Amino acid sequence: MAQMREMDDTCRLHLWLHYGVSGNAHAFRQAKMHFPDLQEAYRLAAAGSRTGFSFLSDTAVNRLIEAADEAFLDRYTGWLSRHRVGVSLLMDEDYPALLREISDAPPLLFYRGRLEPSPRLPVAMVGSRLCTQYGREVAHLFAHDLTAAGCTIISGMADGIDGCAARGALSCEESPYPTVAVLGSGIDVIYPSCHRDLYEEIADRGAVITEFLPGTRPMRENFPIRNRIMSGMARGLIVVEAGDRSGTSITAGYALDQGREVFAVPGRLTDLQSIGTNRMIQRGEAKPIFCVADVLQEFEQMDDYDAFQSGPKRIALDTLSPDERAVCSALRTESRSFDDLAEMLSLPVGQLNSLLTGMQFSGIIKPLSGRLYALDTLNTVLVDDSSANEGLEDDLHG
Amino acid sequence: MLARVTSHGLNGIGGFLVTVEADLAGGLPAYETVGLPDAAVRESRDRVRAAIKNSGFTFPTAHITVSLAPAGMRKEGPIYDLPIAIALLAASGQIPLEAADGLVIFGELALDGTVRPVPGVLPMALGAYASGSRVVALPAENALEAAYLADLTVLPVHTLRELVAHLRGTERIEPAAVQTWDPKRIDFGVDFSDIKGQQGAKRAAEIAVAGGHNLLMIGTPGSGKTMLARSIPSILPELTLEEALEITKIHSIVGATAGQGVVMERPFRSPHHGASAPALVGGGTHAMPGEASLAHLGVLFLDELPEFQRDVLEALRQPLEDGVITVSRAAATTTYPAAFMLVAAMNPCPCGNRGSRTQHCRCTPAQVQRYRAKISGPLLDRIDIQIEMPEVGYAELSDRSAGEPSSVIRARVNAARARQRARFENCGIVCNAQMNARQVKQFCSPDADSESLLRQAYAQLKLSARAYQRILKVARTIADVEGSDNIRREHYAEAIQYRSLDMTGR
Repeated sequence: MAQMREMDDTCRLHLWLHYGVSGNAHAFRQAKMHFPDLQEAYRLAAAGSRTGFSFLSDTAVNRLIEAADEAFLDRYTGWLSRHRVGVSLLMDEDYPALLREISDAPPLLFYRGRLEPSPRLPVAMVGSRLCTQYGREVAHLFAHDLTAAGCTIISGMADGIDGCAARGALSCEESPYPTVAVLGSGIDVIYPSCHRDLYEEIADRGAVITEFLPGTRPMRENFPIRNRIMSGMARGLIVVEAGDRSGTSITAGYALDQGREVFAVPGRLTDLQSIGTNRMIQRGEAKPIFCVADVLQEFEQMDDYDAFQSGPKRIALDTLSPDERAVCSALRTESRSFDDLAEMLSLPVGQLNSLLTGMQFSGIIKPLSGRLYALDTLNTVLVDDSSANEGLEDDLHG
Repeated sequence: MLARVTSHGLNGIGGFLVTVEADLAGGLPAYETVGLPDAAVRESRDRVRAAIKNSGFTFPTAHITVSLAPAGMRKEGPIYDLPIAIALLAASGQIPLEAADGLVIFGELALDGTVRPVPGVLPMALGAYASGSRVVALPAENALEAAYLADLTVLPVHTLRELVAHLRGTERIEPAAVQTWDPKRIDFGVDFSDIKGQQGAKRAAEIAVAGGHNLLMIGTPGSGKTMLARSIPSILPELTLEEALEITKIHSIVGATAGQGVVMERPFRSPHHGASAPALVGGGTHAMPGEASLAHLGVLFLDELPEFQRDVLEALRQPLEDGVITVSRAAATTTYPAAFMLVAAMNPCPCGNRGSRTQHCRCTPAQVQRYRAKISGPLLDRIDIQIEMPEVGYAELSDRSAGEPSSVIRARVNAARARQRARFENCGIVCNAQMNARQVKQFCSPDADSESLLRQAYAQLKLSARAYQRILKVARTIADVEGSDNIRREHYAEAIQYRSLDMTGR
């Protein structure tokens, strides 16, 4: 677990102010401007004086006065350390360096795990919560490969793309700092609750961070606020799937404002979940990417990429049995149900079952929900004969 | 005067001989029934009085004591009307005292003296036979039920007057003809050839039946889960007389067999998902059998499995493991057989459209997870075969090949069962699903080639040790269906396909 920073006076004062303004970064900065010495503000509030706080809302002033109490702050800091929650201030050394650059950087971050101020290549990955199988697979694969190439994946730990990205990053066992999750709720509120195991694993190997007060519910309005941190911490943002005018598009907007690179994974024209990404590409807001190398190239990190080179494995069609070839050609254009295959191949059902198991384990096909089968194109590329391998590689990456 | 008549009582599916004694004494006319009678037995006084009078006999005017021995067992229901009437007539000298010796009598009386059918005739007749009686007199409507017992003479009684005449020796009641067991071609209503498409699921059903495995079908609404389940009885092995009698015993207790005789087909029970735990496993004041016992030697079909109350499903764990259910109530504790094949069906997600190519699923992963988590791991562990059913498109409905009729599949099932019986001759089990861990090791040891496949499955699908065992068992059944002594690699490979929930993520 993270080595806990001593809760010194500066930290206590910042926590007090942060509590008073309910985590509002703008009000926090205003207060700091009025009171270069926070000690002064604290003394005023402790004395119950409202003068000097006129720039703040009544609620904020009330909260400041109420919290200007050593016993309260003791309880607060005690709770944080009991829950192994660290606090990082804007001027602290472990505060994410890239995040400090953005105009409305959060003045204070709560975190579980270990903060790495400047990871080698932080990349944010976002997307729709209601995503397709395609989106899930791409997110998982890209996150894994980027992590293997030395990146740190920053995601929001939500359902769908975010969760898949985090899991993909964690699946790269050798990475020292695979992923950071930025929450739209308090550090102690796990949303969605089914991601508890994911939360713990991220906190164990990377960090879970948030600027919201402990106990904050995951309200709708929190997420855009949270998203600016995600893009702010990263050098680039990958949008895997996004609906039309979705929250994901908002994040992409932040990233552009913050001067970050934005990438989008193109999708099918007919998929609702790809309308947003395809539009971003069309408008020139995002660069389309087809593989991990496209991202690494942008940051001139290709050397690392060549080093690991996982990519799909290539299987020559002529090494497959006639039955296997027949399955492949049946699945070439679209996924098919078990019964379609049984009908098309006119194979006995038992034989088809065992054929499919074999092909599944060799990574040629994959089972989908609803007893459907599809080619596992992310794992395996089928080529007509073994000599064609080189050309194909160029087509993909050239 | 004292007269004795033998009758029979019910306790679960077993029974006990009851001696009905009637004593007439001097004093003020009175009528007492002793021997733990319930309300129905106590009320028999009025039915008996009216029936005797209306049949043209004389109801004795005396201090009457009717005793049902053994006095410590509860006597329930109207089955003692007829023996009490005979005992009273014997005690008052209207029938020779010894006339009813060696005869077991039961039946309910109507006020005009006709004999009405009663529940539980078969278990009582079997019980009477087991305790040495060879002649029973019982309601004519129930006679068919007991008529399959070759050594037992069954006297079908229509009226009290008829039985009295028989006992006086003036007229004879012809014993019911002994029925010979002929599992006649039963029309099951649904045949496997009626199901279009779904070849994969039909094959899974065949394997499940062949090895006695439980089956879970997951599919979008309208994919034919219910239809497949309904047609499963048509491929179950043919009923033997012993099995038929065992089924009839249970159905007889709940009174479902009146006038029908022996149950000729394997039961198919499909309780609604609102069913309570007692409805499913049995209960009530008298610890009656529930749906699970009524499905004994047949199919218990649970549609919309996750919609069942959790405690209801958990209650099924004992019968799934042991094949029996013990129902404990204040009035009685009874063990009923419940060796059924569990066939369950569920949607892939709450809205039902997950995996559909035409409908869009709006369920969040959390919702899907919650839905599937309603079925507990221990229950899921007892279901060897899980299969997803693809949705059926228009093409399937119109021009899909129909496939084999049930009779062909049933022949294969019978052959596979015969192989299993031969293999397990000295093991005390009859089918692959019943193998324990040691037997799995003994009968399903994979060769090196299959071992590597299984290791791959284990790693890629993150199988549990239990799931692994299940794959071995199912592979054994597949080999049996294919008529192979050795389990080959392709059999294991096929078995792996029947772990749907492991494969596409729970």
